[in-house]
Amino acid sequence: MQELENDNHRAVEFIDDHRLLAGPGSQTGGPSFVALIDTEKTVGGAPVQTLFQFSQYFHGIRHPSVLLERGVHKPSPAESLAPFHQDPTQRIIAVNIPFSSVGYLVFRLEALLRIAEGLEGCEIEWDGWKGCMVVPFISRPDRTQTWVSGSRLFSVTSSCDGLYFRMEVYDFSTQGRRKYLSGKVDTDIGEVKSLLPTGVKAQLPRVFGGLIDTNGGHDSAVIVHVSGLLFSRIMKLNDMSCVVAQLPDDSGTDEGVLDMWTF
Amino acid sequence: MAFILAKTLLPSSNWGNGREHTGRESYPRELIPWNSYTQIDIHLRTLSSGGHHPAARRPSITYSRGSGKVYYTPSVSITSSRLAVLMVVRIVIWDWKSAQVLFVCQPFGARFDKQSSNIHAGT
Repeated sequence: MQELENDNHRAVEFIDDHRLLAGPGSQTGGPSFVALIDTEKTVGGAPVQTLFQFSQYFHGIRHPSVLLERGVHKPSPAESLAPFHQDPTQRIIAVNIPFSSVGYLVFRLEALLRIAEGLEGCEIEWDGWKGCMVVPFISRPDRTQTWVSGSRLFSVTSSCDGLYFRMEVYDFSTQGRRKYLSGKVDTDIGEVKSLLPTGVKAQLPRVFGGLIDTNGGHDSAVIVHVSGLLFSRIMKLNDMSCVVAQLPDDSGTDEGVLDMWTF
Repeated sequence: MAFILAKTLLPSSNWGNGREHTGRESYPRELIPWNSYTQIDIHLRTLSSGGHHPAARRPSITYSRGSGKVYYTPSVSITSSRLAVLMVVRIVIWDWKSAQVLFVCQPFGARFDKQSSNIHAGT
C-alpha cells in the first residue's frame, strides 16, 4: 500500500483502559499494518508498539479501513446504560478491504492479544496471525454498510432490485463460530476461514435518497435516510435513545428520516 | 462518564460568519466531514449534563498541526483516563484529567518529523 497521503480512513481506538489499536497504515515502502500500542509499557520513554502486518496483497490497496466498536473502558455503575460491552475479549475488529474478493477481514481481539503475548514491541508478519482471520460471507461487500458490536458484525445491503435494504448479522463469538464457520475460501490473500450469517434478517424499506449512515449499540441499530443535501451526525447513547444532530436545509424541505430497530 | 466534543479549526480566512462555504453548499464547520484542518480543540464534557467534566483540570485540550494543509479528519478515542488523537501519522496520548501529554508516537511513516505541531491545554 502506498503512503496514505490525504487518507481519511485510518483510525485510533482504545481497546481497554490503556491499550489502543491504530491503523491501518504503513511505514515508507513497508507493508501495511495495524499497531497495538500499550501506554502502560514503555521502552525508552515511548509506549511499546506491536505491529501486525497484513498480507503483501494490501500493498496495492488504497483506503483499507478498520471498524472498531467505540467505548471500551470499564463502565462505572453510573453509566450502566452506555452501550459498552462488559467483556472486551469478545470484541471483534473488522478490516474493510475495498475492491477485493475478501471485502472484510474480521479477527477477535482476544486472539490478537494472545498472539501478542511475549511478542510486545515486535513486528508480527502476516503468516503469524492470519490464522485468526475470518471472512464474513457478505455477497456484495462493496455495497454494504457495516458496524461491529461486541462479537457481532452487522451489515446492511441494498437488495438486488433496489426496493429495500437487508440487514444481516454475523456472530463471531465462540458459539457463533462453532455454528456458522463454513470452512476455508480461496481469496486474494490466500485461504481464509469464512463465516455465514446467522440467518436473522431484517428487511428495511427503502426511501428516496438512500442510506446515509448506520450505527449500532448492544442490540440495536440506528439507520438514517436523508433525502436532502444534508450531512447528519448521530450520537448513540444507549439501546433506546439516540441524538441526531442534523442541519436544517436552507430551503426548509428537510426530509430526514430516522429509523431505529431493536433486536 | 466523559465524552469529547471535538471542533476543528480551519484557516482563518474560512471563519467568516460561522459557516463554511465551499462553493456548493453552506453548513456549520462542525459538520464538515473533512477539510484542511490545522487545529483540533477537544472539549471534555460530562455525558450527563454536557458541562465541563469535573475530573478534567482543564476544560479543553488543543492540538495544532501548525501551518499547511492537512486533508484529514482526526481520529479521537477516549477512555477512563487516556485520550488519544491520531492526525495523519502522529498519535498524541494525553492524561485528559491532568491535561498532560503522556506520549507522542508515530507508527506510520515519518513525514511529520519536518513539521511543527503545538499541543496545549485550554484554560
